[in-house]
Amino acid sequence: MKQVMKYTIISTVTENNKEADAVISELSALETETDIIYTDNMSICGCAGCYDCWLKTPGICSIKDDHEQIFVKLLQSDRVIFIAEVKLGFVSYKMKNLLDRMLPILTIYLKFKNGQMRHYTRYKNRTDLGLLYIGNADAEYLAGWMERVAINFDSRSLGVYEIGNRKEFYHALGDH
Amino acid sequence: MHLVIISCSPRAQKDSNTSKIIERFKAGFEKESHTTEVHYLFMKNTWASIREAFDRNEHILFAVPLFVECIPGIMLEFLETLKPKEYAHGAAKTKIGFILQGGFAEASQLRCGEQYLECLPEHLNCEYTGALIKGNMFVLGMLNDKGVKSLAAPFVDMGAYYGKHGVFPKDIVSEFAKPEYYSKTNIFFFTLLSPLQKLFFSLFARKRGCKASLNAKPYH
Ligand SMILES: Cc1cc2nc3c(=O)[nH]c(=O)nc-3n(C[C@H](O)[C@H](O)[C@H](O)COP(=O)(O)O)c2cc1C
Repeated sequence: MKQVMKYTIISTVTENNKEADAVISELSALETETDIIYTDNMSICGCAGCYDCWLKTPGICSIKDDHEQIFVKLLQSDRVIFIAEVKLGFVSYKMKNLLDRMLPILTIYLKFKNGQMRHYTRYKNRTDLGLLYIGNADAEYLAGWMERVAINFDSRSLGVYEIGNRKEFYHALGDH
Repeated sequence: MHLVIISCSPRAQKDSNTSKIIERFKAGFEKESHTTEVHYLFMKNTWASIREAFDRNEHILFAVPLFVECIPGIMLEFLETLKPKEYAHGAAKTKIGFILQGGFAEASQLRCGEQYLECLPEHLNCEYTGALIKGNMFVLGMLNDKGVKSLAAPFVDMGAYYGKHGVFPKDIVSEFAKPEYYSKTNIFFFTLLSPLQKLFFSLFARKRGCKASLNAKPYH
């Protein structure tokens, strides 16, 4: 029997972006449990780099804003799919801020995994991460970056695709 | 040469490892009788004047902490407000160099970020002069003044080097940033000593008034 996967789509592009809307309805039709978060109307700051989440209030970010609900959602999901615009050849700061703010998922403690230094994760559950991007980017670079991000969070990358190639992405989801 | 240094950490100047590194780098760079001005991204109300400095100057150095395998969100946000440079006919392109420093110790951890930085100046219609990468910089924030001085000391020489040559060649950067990976022996000893590492971090936190376990799971 197929296990039901909990998906969360996090759209960091403006609401009523047609392609993002298409992804949301296509994926909701494919997967039984799909939640959607639009960050455009949320107030989300960038990481302050203070390390309170490691050393002062372990696991809790010092910034009190709408990010907390995304953090909790991510912890509860098996798979998170980001939709982001590309600016200057990289994902826009709106998506990068979300990832920077995931730091409390890790503890400060260090270990070696496959020959490289990593942090121990705070929770047992792991959330796989995928990205559909809008704009001009080096897909291979972004895919390599996402692989490394996933390793850092002890999860797996579901791949990175230009939003026009999303059918490929849906097919690949079955292989992971 | 007059170098505009932009510190891209979201942390205040007094707390930031990036600013400690800039201080050392600058000392070496100015030995070559060059001048610098340093700007900090952590206060957004200063961004207009930083943009102006970027627009008006020909030599820029972004000093960057590695955040989640690439540059911090705050830096991306700032970059998105810049316009690609335009030049008078025949004028030389603005040169952009980088210092990229991270917490993990091995140089290999900074390569993904470095790869992005190689392409970034082109998006701003500028020229890339290289990226000086260095790991194991997280601890700068845990050391006293003397410790900081000694750990960040190698940046003085690299400042002088950049002052002389205006570039960070790849081979020199790799030598500066090594080891690329930890040897099996080093990993073995690191693992063996890991209870001490845990003790060190928890004592450090306790001293600063943290009562919870560093492994706490507040969102369980
Ligand atoms: C949100 C966040 C993400 C980080 N990601 C990485 C990383 O992927 N690799 C790494 O080596 N260090 C990483 N670090 C560690 C910092 O790069 C390092 O501590 C740096 O010295 C911080 O400089 P600053 O004090 O000027 O902000 C991260 C730190 C933060 C706060």
